[in-house]
Amino acid sequence: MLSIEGLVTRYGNVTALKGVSLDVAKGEIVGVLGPNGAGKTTTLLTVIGLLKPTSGRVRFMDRDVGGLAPDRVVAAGVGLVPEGRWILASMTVRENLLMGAYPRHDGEAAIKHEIDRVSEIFPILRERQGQRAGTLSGGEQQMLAIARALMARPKLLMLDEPTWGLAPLVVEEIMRVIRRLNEEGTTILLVEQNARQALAVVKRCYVLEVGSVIFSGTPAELKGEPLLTQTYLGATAR
Amino acid sequence: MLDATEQFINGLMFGCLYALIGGGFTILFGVMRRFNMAYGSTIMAGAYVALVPVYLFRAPAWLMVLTGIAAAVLVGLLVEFCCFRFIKKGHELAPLMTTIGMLIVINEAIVHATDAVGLKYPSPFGDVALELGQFLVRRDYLAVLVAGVVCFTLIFLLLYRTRFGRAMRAVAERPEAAQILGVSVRRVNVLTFVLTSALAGVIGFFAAVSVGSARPDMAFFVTGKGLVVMVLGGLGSLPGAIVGGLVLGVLEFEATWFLGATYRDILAFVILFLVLVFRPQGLVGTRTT
Repeated sequence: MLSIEGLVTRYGNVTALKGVSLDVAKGEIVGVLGPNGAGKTTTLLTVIGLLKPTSGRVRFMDRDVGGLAPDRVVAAGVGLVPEGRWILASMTVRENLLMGAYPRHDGEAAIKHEIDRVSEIFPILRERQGQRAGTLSGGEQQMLAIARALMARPKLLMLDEPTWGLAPLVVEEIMRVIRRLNEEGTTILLVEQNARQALAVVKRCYVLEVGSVIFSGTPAELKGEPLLTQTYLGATAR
Repeated sequence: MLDATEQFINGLMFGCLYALIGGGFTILFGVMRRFNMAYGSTIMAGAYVALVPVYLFRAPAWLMVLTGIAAAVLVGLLVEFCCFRFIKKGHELAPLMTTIGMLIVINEAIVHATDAVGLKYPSPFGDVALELGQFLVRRDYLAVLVAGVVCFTLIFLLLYRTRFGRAMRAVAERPEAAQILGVSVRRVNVLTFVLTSALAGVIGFFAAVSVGSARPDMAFFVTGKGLVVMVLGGLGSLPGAIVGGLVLGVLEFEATWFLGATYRDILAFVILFLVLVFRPQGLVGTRTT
């Protein structure tokens, strides 16, 4: 479904991605792990179109989307839950959800139905509909960010550190939702620094280090690489 | 005190014009985070071109307004294309320079075409003042008030009741968030130019009607007032622009009454100075300038 080949992205003079290649098949749930500054977020931002790649190819559902503007990539069916959530704080929860449905043109009834569906996944959002999103707690904002991305019915959902800074109970709920979404058919690309969390749900994973892929395989295979587990995942993979 | 009250009423009504000017600057600044210094010349172009159908035949007022809107939208699109579209992200000051250039170009073009002579404007609302109880109210000021209420109602309905208005607010608050939700920032920018320029057409017509002529110094006048209103209310705040416009209108009319007409235009900038020193976030806004 998503196929990245030799992706190079620069910020000014700094080369953040030095030829990253990765694949996500339809229905899969794939993790991207690695330390800070490895290029995980840069990869997602390049796929969605906020960053322009210097070279390399991004193919999504047999279409070349590398270098396309974000609105085109989103319209093609890619959703992003960004690091830091990017909630529209001055708008209400409901307005945030409606913004998530922006690419859709299938009428108000369908969008209302979608709001009901995501409110069923995150019941707290139903209670908070009329509240300004900026007043939500961190966990609620993360749920809103995920629900908002779901409003567009993405075929591929990319999540960037969705559990960062959240209480253990909320982390558990969010991981449960991610697993459920995947079981219901959404293809998922999950970026996490919290390797233990991620390895528990993903079927395959990539490890990035300073802009390059240094490992790809199953969580079990990763655990068989003592150097990798120790160096990059040591603190959390114990 | 009766006359001071009358001045207050007149100031409020005329302040609606200032509010509209400030509103136009504010919407564009809010969405694009750039100053469009050519906005004054867009208003001026609207005011002048609105006269064209009057020279051709006995055009009714609404046709003048529509002509002014059409002309202003064309000028606005020209400004967007020449001064904003090709400027790279991160060059905040570049559009300030390009639009000041455009302000001068459009202004000079109009001045040349009209030999720098003001053009008399018809008075479609009549010259006889209206008696409201003990007060005399100018009909053209009353028309400005109605225009202000209608325009701001439409603007708020657009911003808070439509899908596109929501996208505009999203871009204003967090452009990259709007983008990952599927909003084309370029499209929103262009349509914001169309919207604010259409508003400029309306402003141009009513500004010229209320002074009785389209004048070569018009762009300078509205740019000054617009920036003062924007800062007075709070940069980027639409309610701020309304409050700022009304306050400026009232203060100017009272100053004219108590101090004399020559003090009127200095006053705006004295207020600007005082606000920047003592309340830099503006009367309504929370952002600091």
